[in-house]
Amino acid sequence: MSQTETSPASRDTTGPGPAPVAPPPRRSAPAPAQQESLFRRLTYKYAVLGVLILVVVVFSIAAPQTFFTFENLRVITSSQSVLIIAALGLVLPFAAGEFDLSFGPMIAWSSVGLAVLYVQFDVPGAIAIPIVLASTCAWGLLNAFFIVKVGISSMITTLGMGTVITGLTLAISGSQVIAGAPEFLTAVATQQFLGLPLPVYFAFILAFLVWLFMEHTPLGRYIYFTGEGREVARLSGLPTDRIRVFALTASALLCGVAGVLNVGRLGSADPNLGASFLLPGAAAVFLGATVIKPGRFNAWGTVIAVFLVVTGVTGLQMLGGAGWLENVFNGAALVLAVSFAAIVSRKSATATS
Amino acid sequence: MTQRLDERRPGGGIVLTNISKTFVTNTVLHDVSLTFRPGTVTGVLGENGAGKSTLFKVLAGIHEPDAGGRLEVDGVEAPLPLTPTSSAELGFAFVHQDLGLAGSLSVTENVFVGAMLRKHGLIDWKAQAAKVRELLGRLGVDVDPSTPVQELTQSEKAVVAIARAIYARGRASSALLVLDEPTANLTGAERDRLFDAMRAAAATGTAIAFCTHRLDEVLTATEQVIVLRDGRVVMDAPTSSISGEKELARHILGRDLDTYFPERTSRAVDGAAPILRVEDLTGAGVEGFSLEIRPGEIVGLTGLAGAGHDTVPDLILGAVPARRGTVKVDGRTIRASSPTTTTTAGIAVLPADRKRRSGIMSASIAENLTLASLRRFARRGLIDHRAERSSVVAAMEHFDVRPLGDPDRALQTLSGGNQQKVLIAKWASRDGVKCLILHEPTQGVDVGAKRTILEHVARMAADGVAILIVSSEHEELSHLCDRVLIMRGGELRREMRGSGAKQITEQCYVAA
Repeated sequence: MSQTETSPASRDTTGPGPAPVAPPPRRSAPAPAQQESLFRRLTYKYAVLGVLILVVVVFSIAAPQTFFTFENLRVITSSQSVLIIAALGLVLPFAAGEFDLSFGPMIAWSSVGLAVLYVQFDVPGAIAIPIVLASTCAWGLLNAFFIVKVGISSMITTLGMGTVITGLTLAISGSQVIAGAPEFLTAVATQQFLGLPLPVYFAFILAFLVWLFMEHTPLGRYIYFTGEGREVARLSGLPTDRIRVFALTASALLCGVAGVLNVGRLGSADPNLGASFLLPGAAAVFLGATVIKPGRFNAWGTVIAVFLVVTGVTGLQMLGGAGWLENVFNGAALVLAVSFAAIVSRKSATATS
Repeated sequence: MTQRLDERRPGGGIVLTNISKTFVTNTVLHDVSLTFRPGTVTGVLGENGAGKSTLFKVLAGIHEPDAGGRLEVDGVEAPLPLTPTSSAELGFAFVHQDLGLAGSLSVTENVFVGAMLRKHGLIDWKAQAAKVRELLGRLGVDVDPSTPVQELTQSEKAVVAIARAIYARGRASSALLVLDEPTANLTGAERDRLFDAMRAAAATGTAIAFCTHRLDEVLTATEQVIVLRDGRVVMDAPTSSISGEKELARHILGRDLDTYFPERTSRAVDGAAPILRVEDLTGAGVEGFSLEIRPGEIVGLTGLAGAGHDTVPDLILGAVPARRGTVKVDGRTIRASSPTTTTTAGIAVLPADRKRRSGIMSASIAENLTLASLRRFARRGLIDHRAERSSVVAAMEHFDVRPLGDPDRALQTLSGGNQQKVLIAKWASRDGVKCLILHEPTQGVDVGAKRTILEHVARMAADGVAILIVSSEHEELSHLCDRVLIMRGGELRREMRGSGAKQITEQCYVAA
């Protein structure tokens, strides 16, 4: 693990939230000679993208009949649009230095909540959707209350809250998969444009918006400052507490959106959905922080990382890999992503000091 | 190992010959030849970037020197490049400015970290405690070995770090002890105690390399002085042959510097309404603190360690809650005091702890510089990157931030002095700063950068900003300030004005 900002002796970290357990790796720092650093910067800036291309090429050669087809591209992109939307939401709290491990359960909550309202209580979709989005935001606010106001570590808070939400999701669904979705939602979620379903376009539009927000607005940059130097940001007058509340709530809202779209896409809601999102989502966000803008959780990096993780899993399955491969691949991707980020940051730190 | 020790001639010391170091195309050490003699305290001086840290990293086995250099330890040639292991085997020990101690662990645990004394496989706490007492006693410090390090004074902490470095691996003494700015956080008597420990370590035959930016210390605490400039040794002379600080500064900078304190071209206007008015501020060890600063006025605030002056900036800012008291800017009281409300009202604080509280080390120069003024560059909600960049480039030039022209560098890659220039520029480029509070603004900053920083502070005062400098550098305060306030025991005790302020010495703190 790279060196963290908080040494055991430092008592001046008054922000209630702890520094992230896995600190965002440091930024690329040019070494004394430009040509060396340029090469290195490019190498690690696009390493993950290179791996993605490599994975695609390898599987295309290994399984040209099944993998390298438009149909497969369509399946991969459309099945992952929900994950991309949720992972993009995660960029905000992660960048602000807070974990959110309750995002999987929140996706399940919003899916199941919508299905329960629509199917069992006959609430029209146009009313049910705002209700579930608001309730998911409420979970985000509750997370923020414990993390920011009470001052508990975000890892512990969201781990606990995630379990609570999972439990309540099982309760309202009676632990059953609930079939049924508002018609207009199904239409939107399955409508195709140029061969790809609309949610794929939503995911990319959202990636653009998150990128625009994080890179080009003052608030986006304040979120990074809150994550990388919370005490500095606070003493400079930035409202770091409100920024963290905002990041956690925005992430919850996007989980809600992802859950709603998932109901439209599948026509049903599975209360056990959360677990399948947790690992690929977390892996993608961490892996995303090693590409495009190494050292920072960022939108396009996250999108690339989702595709890398998913392409890897899909390819392995097409080659006849067993179902357990998915777990192994996702878990390994998470650990390797964080390791890679740590190595990059250590290198850039020693090269310049 | 022991055999080689026997072969060594006593009195040889550590002799470096023609050590060079090139990073790709950038040569940062040019044929450096010098000797660290056993039992001698050698001051190693130079601006940030002069090559000091590179030199010591070569000795620590972190950097590989260019071919052609030689290293001799007590008459025996040591093969270059060194590795961290071979450096330790030669008896080279390093104490860095941050000391690297674990605050919540005891003195014993800190000294024996990594090499605990054992008995029957278990840690022998009794033997360790006895050993620690003996080691620290030799350096002239008497503390209970079970005390958590965070409860020690700064000088005691430094001595514990020295003890750990020297006696690591159960050595009786080190061949070379490098102390990198160990005094940066120390004042008066604390510093003298550290110097005593340094001399005690030298008395065991250790060669000591002592790095500092404080020239007065060099004259009092060293026997030999080596000055590096642009990677070359430009001075290597006994301390007794040096006429004074000016001579040192001339060698360090390569030009004459009449004084590192800028002339004030303006003074505060008498009778103007105060910008900052603090009334009866109480909390965190400060009692009934009141203060007024008028536009263009520079007020100094100082005291001995623990006198309370160090918490005043945080209390005014609202970063530490006050039990009672008010802060007014332009006559308006700041309600619900927090860093956000205080900063919005026009008070800016430059904290002393640069790495944790003042600058975001992983963020770029540009991002740090515009952190407090980012809104200025927003057009319809989006940051105008071109405008931001040109403003940053101009500010870097204006504040002489080096290296110039690379605003995307991470702040941590700059020297301490240049980091501080960036952080002063951060507040200088914010609109509506009416009062600037600087806490130890020149700590760990070399002489050249120090002058630049103080010049800009004086310039901001000339522009009508009310300035409060909280510092333990009494010389700096007496040159720059219109008046200096001295605290003791949490209370303001004394105020020195005009020419009186010129004669502040440490005695004033004690007498206050």
